[in-house]
Amino acid sequence: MSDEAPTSRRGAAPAPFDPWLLAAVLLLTGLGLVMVYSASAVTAQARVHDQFYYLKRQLVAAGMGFALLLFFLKLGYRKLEPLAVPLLLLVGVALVLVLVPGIGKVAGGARRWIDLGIVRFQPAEAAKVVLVLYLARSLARKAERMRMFSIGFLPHVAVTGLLVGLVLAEKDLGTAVILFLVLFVMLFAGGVKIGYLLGAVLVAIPIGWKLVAGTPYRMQRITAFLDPWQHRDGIGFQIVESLLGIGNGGWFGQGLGEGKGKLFYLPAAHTDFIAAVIAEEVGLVGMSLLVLLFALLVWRGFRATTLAPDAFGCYVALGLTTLIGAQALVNLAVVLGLLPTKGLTLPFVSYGGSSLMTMLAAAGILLSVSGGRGGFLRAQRTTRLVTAAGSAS
Amino acid sequence: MRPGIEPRSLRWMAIRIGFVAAAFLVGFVVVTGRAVQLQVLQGDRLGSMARDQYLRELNQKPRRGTITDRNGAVLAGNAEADSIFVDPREFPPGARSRDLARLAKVLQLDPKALERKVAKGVRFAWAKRRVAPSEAEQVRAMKLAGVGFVKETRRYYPRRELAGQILGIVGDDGEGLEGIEKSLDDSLQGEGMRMPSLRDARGAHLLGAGPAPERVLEGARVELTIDQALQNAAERSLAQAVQRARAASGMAIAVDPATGEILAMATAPLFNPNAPRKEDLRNRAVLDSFEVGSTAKTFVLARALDEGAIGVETPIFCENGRWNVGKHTIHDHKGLGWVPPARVIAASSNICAAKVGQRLGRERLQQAFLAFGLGERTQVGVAGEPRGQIPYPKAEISLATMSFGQGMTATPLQITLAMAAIANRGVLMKPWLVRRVVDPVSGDVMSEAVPTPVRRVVSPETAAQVARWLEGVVADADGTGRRARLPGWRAAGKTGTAQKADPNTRGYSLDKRFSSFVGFAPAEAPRIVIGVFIDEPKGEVYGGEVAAPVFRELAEHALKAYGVPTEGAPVAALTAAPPPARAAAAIPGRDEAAVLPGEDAGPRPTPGDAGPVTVPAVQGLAARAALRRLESANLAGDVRGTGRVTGQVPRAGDRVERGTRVRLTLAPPG
Repeated sequence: MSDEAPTSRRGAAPAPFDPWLLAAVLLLTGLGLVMVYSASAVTAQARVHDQFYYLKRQLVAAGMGFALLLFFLKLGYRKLEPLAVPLLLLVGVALVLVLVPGIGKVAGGARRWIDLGIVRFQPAEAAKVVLVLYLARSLARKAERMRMFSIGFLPHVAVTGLLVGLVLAEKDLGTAVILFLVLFVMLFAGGVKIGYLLGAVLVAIPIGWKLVAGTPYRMQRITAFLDPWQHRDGIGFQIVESLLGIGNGGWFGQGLGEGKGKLFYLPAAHTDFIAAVIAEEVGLVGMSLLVLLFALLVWRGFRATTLAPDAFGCYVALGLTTLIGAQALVNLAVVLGLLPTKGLTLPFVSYGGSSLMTMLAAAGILLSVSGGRGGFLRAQRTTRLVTAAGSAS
Repeated sequence: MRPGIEPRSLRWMAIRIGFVAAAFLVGFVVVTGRAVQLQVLQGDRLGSMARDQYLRELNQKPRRGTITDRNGAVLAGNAEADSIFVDPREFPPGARSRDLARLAKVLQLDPKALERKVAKGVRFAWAKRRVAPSEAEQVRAMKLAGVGFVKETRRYYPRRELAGQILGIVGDDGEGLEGIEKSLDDSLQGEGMRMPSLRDARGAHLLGAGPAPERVLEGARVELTIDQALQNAAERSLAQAVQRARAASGMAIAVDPATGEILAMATAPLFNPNAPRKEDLRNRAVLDSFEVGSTAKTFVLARALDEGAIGVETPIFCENGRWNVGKHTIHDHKGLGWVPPARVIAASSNICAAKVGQRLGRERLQQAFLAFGLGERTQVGVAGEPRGQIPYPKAEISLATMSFGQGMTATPLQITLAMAAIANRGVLMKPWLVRRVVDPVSGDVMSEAVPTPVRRVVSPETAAQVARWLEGVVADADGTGRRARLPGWRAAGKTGTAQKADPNTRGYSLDKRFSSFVGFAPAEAPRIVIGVFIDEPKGEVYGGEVAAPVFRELAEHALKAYGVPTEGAPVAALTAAPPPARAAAAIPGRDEAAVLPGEDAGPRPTPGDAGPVTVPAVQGLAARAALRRLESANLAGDVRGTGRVTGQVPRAGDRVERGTRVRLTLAPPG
């Protein structure tokens, strides 16, 4: 069909990717490096007597992540379509392997890492991106048949459920929630009947409740979330410290490096709760900038979705945008005390090699879609616009 | 063409994606709104809560001020010591009980008590504070995880027992518990400096949150009226006397009659505040009241003479040693006939004293004692001072016995001060123990005591006459105080041997005595008043025997030290030590032109004696040795710090005036 229509509209040589999207990613990563240093220096000094310890590791991860980003940008998302299923199998195996003592490394009470020599790799992070690729491929191929329960709904729920099961076995509730959110959004966009989705939610509620209520520490998190001040000295400690730090930030913050929460008050200050440190040190202004950068990223992500030249690209862009945006929103909501804690990093910003590399890789794939000029969703509309313009003239 | 996708489906898909995008938009708006709510609307509240948590007012506690004697010799200073604490979480698993038991053994603690303490404290419990260096070394050598050390300052009394009961003790947190340490606690502690400090969640204080203190804070320096050399002499001879007499305790007080300054105040058994034994802590010279005994006759006769109840030569009949008053019989130690008052005092006749008391009458007898300050607190500044009991002598026999000091009580200090009123030409002075309170950094005098007369008790003439009578006690061949005679000076005083009240029979004890000698010297122009009190001596019990020798030793020491000329050789006998500075007092009452005894006390060191002397080198010496060397060079020392001398001003070899104060800076060795 008319792939030429947008080209003729723009005229200029097509940019291979969306520069706004890349700018958002770069700024977030840069902000992350600064804040990781600020938030972790005291802890690093106390633990390993090197205040730059976490910063150095994060810099290495950022470097490798950008290599991945460039790699996927050059490679182009289309090359990934045939790889989606093998990659899914690979991740599935990795998620099983990580549970095997001796292969999986334990940190923070959870067995989540595989030691690959130079880097420790967290398969759950990769699972997010691979799930998006698999779903995009499957949804694109099924097209009109998506409305059928056994074809459009059940297989995807089953595959995702399997992954989530493995992830939950690693006690990684945060990733599980994000995987389901991505599935839900992609199925919703892919045309699955609303009734199935609502039904799935209704079924999921008791299962989720069982998961939470059956695990003491998850139940505690709910209790702490509902009234953190009541449990200030115990389970509510982290969220109270987070709120205190954020409140202490005020309009313009205490100044970069001047935050106090990181002085062992706020657990996970440089990882899951880094947004609290940002809020404390650069205030509402910094928080707003952070939210704006994510909003920009999500906006450009949706733009890439609508301008994707084909169905696979469209679903990939939607899935990755949802992945990044949802994880950011959930993380911020937790830090701000709007959701119970569940152990999710802030994409691009939090300390964590696997997370940062995965997110940058995802950004690379998303960027490779963002160069599109329409064709799948936009084709009809642009054609109609062109027609309308033509008839008017 | 894409297979199988209807344009209608695509439109629906675009709409659904639009829904998702809208949901994201809502999410971002909610998150931003929440940030506004927390950071702006609740920002003040949350921020102040956060600051409550991060900031702590750190109270910089000043180093406790030193206590010195009147010449600046340090009596109470500070030293560093290790305090040992336990962090129960740091013990290796399973080793806690064993390690605690080992620690308890080295520190000589009860292991069970230590275990309990540790079980209570979550992260921190003191094991033992301010341990001896050897103990700290032993514990260090054990290398136990979970056992830590903190340097704390420890109160240190370099002269051990010296003035122990006056100084008192401090508690674990440097708070005064007894004695001067308690009564001047506020000054000694000084003003702390509160500075804001940043605190991390582990409780560690971080630097840089407040201005650094420009100087080490230090509490005020308290300068006592005590003369440590005289105090030392008093303690030594008193302790010997108490030991010789196998007495329960003894007290000795030396007062400057003109000013009321307490130059020495000793209580035996002695008390070492470095290693306190609570039972010896009591400053009995101020805090315990006793049956006064015969010394009271002095005050009865003085007032009788002053009020005209008797004349200087009025003969009194002493009934040959035996006199019935109602159902009671009064005895004299030695039977006398008709004698003048001088003999009544010298031989200490109870019967004649009772007759003088009769002449005074009940009212005026009680008034006599009260005028001399018995029965009222001296306000010397020691907490818990009793008033003593001077009852109204209702019964005939009470009138008689009170006249010779039975049936009334007073503290040793009260009795000594009453005698000092005689020596001070009839004016009772308020006693004081603290000369000055000085800011050690600026040198500003924060408070300074001045001589305060309480009242004129008798006229100067009466006082002088009584002094002559009291001289007879010592000088007469059969005087009871013969053993108080001094080589080269004339002494005056009165003995006392009171029967102690027995709490069980509510009568007088047959064998328990309270023996005393209270006197002054030189008799004609008293420079020092000394009271010596021996509680429950065994064997020889008379005050003239057990107490008077202590008086003699002390008076001789003091008069030599102050350079009081001996009779006949006024200048040659001068020792060169500077006399203590004496403050002038305004004397109220009828004798406006009263001249203080001190001012006509004979020649003082003449300018010829005050020629320049060479400052000796005292670097490296301990405080005590340095002061001794200065003393022998006719110089006074002003000690700052503890340890060994590291600096002196003026320097060694300089020529300075006799009596100049040499400022010594001391520092702990190493």
